[in-house]
Amino acid sequence: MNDNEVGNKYDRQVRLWNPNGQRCLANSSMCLINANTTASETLKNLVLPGVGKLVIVDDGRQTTDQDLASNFFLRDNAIRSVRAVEMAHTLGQLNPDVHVEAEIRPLDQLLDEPQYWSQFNCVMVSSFLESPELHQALSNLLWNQNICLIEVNSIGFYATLHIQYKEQDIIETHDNSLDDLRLDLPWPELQKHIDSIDLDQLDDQAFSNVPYSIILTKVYQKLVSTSAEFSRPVPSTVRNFVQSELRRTGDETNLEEACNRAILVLKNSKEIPGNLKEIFEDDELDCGDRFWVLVKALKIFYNNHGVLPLSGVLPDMESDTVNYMALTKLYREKFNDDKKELRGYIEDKEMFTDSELSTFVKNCRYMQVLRGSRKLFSGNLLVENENNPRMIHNLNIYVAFLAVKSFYERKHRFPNLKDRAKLRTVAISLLCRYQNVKNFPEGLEKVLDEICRYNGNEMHNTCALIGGVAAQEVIKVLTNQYVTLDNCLSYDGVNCEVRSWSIGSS
Amino acid sequence: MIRDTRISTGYALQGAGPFTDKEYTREFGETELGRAKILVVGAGGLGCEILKDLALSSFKEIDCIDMDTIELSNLNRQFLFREEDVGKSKAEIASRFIKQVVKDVKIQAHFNKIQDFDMEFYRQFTLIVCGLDNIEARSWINKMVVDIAMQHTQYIPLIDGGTEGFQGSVKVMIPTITACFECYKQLIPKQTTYPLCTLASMPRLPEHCIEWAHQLKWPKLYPHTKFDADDPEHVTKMYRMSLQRAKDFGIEGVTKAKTLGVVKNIIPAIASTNAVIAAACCNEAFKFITSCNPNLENIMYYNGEVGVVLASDEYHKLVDCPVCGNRPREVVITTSQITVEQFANEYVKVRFSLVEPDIFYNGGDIYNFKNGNKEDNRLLVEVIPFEENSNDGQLHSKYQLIVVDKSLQNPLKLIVKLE
Repeated sequence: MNDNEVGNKYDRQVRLWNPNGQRCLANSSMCLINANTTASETLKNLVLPGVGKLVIVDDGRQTTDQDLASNFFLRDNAIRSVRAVEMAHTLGQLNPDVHVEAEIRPLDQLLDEPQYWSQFNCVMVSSFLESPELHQALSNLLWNQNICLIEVNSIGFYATLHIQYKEQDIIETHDNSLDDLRLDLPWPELQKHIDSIDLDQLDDQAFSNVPYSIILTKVYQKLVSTSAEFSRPVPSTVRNFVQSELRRTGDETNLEEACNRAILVLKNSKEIPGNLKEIFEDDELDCGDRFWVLVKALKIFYNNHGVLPLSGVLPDMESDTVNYMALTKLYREKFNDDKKELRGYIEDKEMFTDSELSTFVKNCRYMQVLRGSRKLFSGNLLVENENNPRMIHNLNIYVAFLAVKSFYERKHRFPNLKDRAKLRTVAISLLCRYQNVKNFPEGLEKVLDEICRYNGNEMHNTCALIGGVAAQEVIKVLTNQYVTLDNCLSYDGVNCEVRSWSIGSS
Repeated sequence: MIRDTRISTGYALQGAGPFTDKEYTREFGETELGRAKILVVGAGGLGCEILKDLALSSFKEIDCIDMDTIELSNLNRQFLFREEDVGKSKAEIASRFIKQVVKDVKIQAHFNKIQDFDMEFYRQFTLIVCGLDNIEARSWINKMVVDIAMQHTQYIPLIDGGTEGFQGSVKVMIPTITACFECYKQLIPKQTTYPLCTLASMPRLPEHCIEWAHQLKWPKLYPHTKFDADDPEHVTKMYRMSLQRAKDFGIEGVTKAKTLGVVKNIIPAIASTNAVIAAACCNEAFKFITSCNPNLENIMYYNGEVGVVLASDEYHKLVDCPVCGNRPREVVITTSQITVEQFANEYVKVRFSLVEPDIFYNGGDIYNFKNGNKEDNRLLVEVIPFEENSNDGQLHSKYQLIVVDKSLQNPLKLIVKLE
């Protein structure tokens, strides 16, 4: 398929993650364990956007009435079919670019072949596994190979999702505006440009075409030079100055913009986000992985200049073509110079393409390193959130699933309405393992009773919703864009609420 | 094997759970679900999901309206369509697909505009789910259900889903009772527009060059051909014009994708967000119809850009909303022989489900329950002045009647019309 076709069919999503994100999806391979409705609803959202290869691992069981009741991608046939095979077939029809296949082998057998798993970028389990040992084996295997594991469970109106990853290094977080004006710290070429514009000498027309960033820089510099202790002016002072000291021309859109954005004078170009400071001190800095090679080079740049390389992103400003293009050119040149310097700090000059470096320089201020955990729960969560009833309710849902898991592992069936008392006992013994949990959390009984009503059954709407969330998180992992969930959530379809929390690193 | 979706939904309906209203019975839930008739407006990204979710929620009668035909760029999320369906009706292909998979659902497609149907058509539905991509259509449907509520005291809940990229929202609206779509309009951000002089003489951005070609150059160059964003040849021409404009001014960044994005006002869309929002809509529809669990407050917001945010919130009705605000309701009487007492009881108390309404106008009291004028046999037309209405030539009460009652938060305003 050529780029033009890719552009057309996937146009609406490429606008979110760019052609490079789309290529990541096309080259990815993903595994789903257990061919239930949650799996098929997740798969649908991965087949459609074009994730290259999808493998459904299931034990070869046949489609049941229960499966058929909630799973859109199984068909009613005269003959009973192997559900994973049929799911792979119907889902494969959704997108000819994607290869979907069923792997009908017992999981314990596959877990004996660690090399089998190395083909996947991400693995999802969509219901409880038969034994805690099996779960442990899968979790360890993927953790050691640095493959992301997503565990999703869905019963009745409730669902949970937990992501296990060792480390997620995200450059394109898409979280913040990347504008980088340097009002307080113009580089020499920009200063020269600003000095060449004498506001008093301009006629009214030319005056109204001066972009607000130049006005703000001039006002900023004027206020700093006249203040006794050379301190940073506050936005209101800047606004007053613009409104009272500058010429009125009748066309004052640029001055209005300057006033509206006066807050920008508070932005200290030398300051970097705390999260970036931590990244600069990270133990992995010298590990030699591509991401950390970039970080190391960035740290050298920052130590040399006290600022990060310029993002090169200029917001639109009221102006005319000549003035605005002159400014654009300055920012672009500085961005390219900084990028070139950064490349100089990387030993292997061929390690990164120009566009990779451009992406890094543009986004580096807001990059994120997420560290995952293999722990499934922490008692602290219940203590820390004592005064947040909404959070406690969603934590209760998570605890209820842990209780169901424990029940299922022992009895190999799901709790129903007759098991309400038993499930409470399981939940209590489970919470007893966490010494800091003193009381049975408020409202947990109701949540346990609600979950018992469904006998472990999936409801379509819940599967569709959590399948959407799961697929979204898989896409974030595969494209390495946007910020992945850190690292656990529960969904409450009774009240239509999700809450998420982080279970600390192990 | 025959698919029976009730095997799955039955668990939720079997009896009152810990969060269910205590009055709930299994029979009630099953009956209501069995006889509900749902209208799905829009068979696009959200619509395909909504149809699937409703069919698997055991709804048995579904209608679907969409005026659009299938395009190639739909296929990354509209999973009921294949490449060979491009150019066909979305409503028809989607309905046929659902019918093939869930055989016991009665599903009726309408390859139409929503405006093709009248109030009587919309009154046949128990609940309406919207999966639309524009404000105009939402406003139209909203006004329709509010009008139905005001004129017929028939309350058809409207559940509206919307998505943009990784974000979305769900609104559950009970016409005249909770906030209507119009009440929410103040939350919608204004669309960016570019001043004409920027486009004409001092462009700065690629968008300015594209809008120049779109708004100014095209009509001049092709005065007799309306630009069609779905015609690839048109788009290519537009792109070339924009590119030339950008070159003339030294502006970078005009691409074909950007050109299309600007002239079509494209909103990014992905399968996963549609799945989340549609599922939440249908889950609310299922709970509303069956009463098996409570509904969300008023609105749910979703954002999947950083982690996962999905939260519900209250939103209050605007008192002065131009659609559902306190505008006068019309009460039609067909004979002048109606007594004040008849009017108060049959036309006001019963129809608006009031307890002890007091009725007055700026000329004085008309009827007062507490004061015991229950046997007021004066004719209404003799108590309040009527005059001919210039619009319909009928007799209307000259002044608005005001009704207060303990069941009403705000006074009800009435105009009486004699036909």
